[in-house]
Amino acid sequence: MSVVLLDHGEGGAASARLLTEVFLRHLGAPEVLEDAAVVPGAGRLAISTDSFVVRPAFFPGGNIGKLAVCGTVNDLAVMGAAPRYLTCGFILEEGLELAKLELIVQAMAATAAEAGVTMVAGDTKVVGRGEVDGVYINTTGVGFVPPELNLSAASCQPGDRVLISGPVGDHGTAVMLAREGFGIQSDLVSDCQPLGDLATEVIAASSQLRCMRDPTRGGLATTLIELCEASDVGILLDEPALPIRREVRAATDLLGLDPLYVACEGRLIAVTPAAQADAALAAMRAHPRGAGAAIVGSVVSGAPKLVLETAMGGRRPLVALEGAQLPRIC
Amino acid sequence: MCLAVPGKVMELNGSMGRCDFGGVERELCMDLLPEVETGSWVLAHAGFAIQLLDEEEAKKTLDLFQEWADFEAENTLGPTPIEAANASEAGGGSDGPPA
Amino acid sequence: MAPRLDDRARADALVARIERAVTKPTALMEVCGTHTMAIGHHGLRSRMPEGLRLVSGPGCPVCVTPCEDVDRAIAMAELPDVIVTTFGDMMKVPGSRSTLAKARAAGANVQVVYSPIDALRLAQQQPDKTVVFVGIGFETTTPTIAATMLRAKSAGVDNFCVLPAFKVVPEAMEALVLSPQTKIDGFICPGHVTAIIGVAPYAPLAAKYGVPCVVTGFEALDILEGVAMLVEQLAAGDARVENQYKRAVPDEGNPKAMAITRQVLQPCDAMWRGVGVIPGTGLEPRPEYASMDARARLPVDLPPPADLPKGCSCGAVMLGLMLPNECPLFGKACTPASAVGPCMVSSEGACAAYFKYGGA
Repeated sequence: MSVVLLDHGEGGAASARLLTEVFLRHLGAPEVLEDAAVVPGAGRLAISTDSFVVRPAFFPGGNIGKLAVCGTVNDLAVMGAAPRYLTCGFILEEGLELAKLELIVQAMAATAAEAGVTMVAGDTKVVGRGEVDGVYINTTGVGFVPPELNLSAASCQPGDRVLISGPVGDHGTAVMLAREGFGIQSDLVSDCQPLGDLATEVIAASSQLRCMRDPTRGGLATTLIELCEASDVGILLDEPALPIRREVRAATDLLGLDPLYVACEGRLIAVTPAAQADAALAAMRAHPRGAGAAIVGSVVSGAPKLVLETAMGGRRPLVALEGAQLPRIC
Repeated sequence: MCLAVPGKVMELNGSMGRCDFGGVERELCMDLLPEVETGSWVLAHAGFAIQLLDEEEAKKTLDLFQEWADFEAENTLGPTPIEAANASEAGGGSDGPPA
Repeated sequence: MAPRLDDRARADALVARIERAVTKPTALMEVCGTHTMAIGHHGLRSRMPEGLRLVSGPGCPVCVTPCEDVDRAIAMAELPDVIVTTFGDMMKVPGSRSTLAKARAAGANVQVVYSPIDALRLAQQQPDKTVVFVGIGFETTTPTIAATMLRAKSAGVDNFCVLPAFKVVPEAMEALVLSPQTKIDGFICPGHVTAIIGVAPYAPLAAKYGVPCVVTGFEALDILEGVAMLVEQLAAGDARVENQYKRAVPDEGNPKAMAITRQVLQPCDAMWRGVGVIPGTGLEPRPEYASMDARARLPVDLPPPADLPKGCSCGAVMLGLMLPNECPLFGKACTPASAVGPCMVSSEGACAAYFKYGGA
């Protein structure tokens, strides 16, 4: 029996076997299987949910399982919440190879351990062949925010500095090259990684930290536009300061894409008062997950727009993308 | 109409050539440049090499080739230990099924 | 390309040259949409002196592709056992009623490819389907499609065909210069088109009409240098063809690419969306390659194409007669989210660039 069958989703003996042999074996088994996890914890609850449908499910640098843990962990981490508990819901396609499912679940377990989170609840459904593409995962995460911490996208103030923890566009580029068959070969890997401990270092280094974000879909530019709008401030980005790997530049140049709008999955944006920016930068760079961190911009008063000051001394507004970027020849 | 990118021809296989664009590679069709040689710099457009780049002229204007050498030398964006570990995992297939 | 430390100094020096030479109102046209994008990308307009206008021209093959060609591609994609392949640029261009992207969402078989060779490979892998490649492009792109058609013929691949929508540049430039309403003082000539056709076709423009032409590359410094060369010619009362992009453009262009193009394609009249028919500015398959002309292979019934909607000024914008923000629909009924005309949808259309870069 090497593939997922519809029976595995019916709640009977087949479901129980799948649960024990694949999910609990890797993610950990509680003493008693209850209908809901009741867990200790106190303080302000941070809660976040995300669904993952990435294609291909296995990409250079990770797989959908690792992504499913990192995505939700990072959304909690950037709010200053130490991520503690995760749930995971799976929708599986009939015919999915169990060996692939095992690799995905193993990656989730390993990433959860790395991130210091426990998987406490889950669910599995199976649908007919062709009704989903392989596997879709939802994770919901819970963490607790220390009482003195109040990070918010609305807190950015003119004079603040904008930092990014590493080069941008790695994940989106790696996945696109793996998925689309444009024939472009590279050693690029996704930057997918959990950022809880990096976030803790940044918080410790900057007592007046305004906010953090993990840019994902839409890349650095999209997330910074959101900050402008939430705080009603402008942001000026310094083009020569932006860290972008040469492979990402080369691939996006070939396809005519803009790396500032290409997804990351393991990067942290921090906005700090000017006086604390250097300390925050040092804290990032001292951490293995913050190599290549840089101060990339400043918050300014005025219209809530993101503007790039180009290497040529020009100015380019960065506006919200309509949808996906498409490769172009023109 | 004109998005074309410079690359270096690393290897020729008949009328196709494997080209390096600064860390990424792609095969290009050489039908429009029969005189191309391994080591030539070409302009890539829509999967074809459309013109040879004159190295001397390039050095005069943008120091294009020196730019790549500089960038390599001063590249501080190398993988973090975690990313390097992931890269070797991905290569070894433990994050995914065998190719 | 990655910015280098000394790029800023070089840019400043070129801007100083430009400022010194511009003494009266001057309009330079960047013919090529890729130049429009690059100018916006580097924020170069904000560095031009007062009185120097950079005007976007009709060199966006996507913008000038007529509605009917988009409608035809969509109709073909809806036929059974047909795969329509296209460069990404065409996916969101509005036809009379729909786009290729919307048609794909509704179940039509449309695939984005990076190279026409990939479309040919697809045809070889799926012999029971007819693979259509949407053949848009100016002279930079046309030889790549012609070469692919040659390969298809010699490999005996009979399920590959091309929907011809090719256009050529120099005649269009002449039409612009001749038009009584356009006042263009100089042309920033398309570097990669010239890498194929060579510099000779621009000579009549300079000689007959006294309009300087500078063949220009696409890096920011290339464009600044090209502009500097143009305004210095104007200051000296010159009207010559110059080549700023010597590293990629030999004077003779690429004769082999031109020969391959001529072997497969022959001139025809072409309809430029929003502008009208400009005789001799199109290309279609020669009789020996008629079997690869998708129009004959896959006849489709098309309702009459929708005229450009009332108020749409794409034609005037593309001819440099109007700035994008002077169009009554700009930013209101016509935005990238809901584009009325092709200039807003195409990634390098003048209106899309203006919307993105705010005229910077």
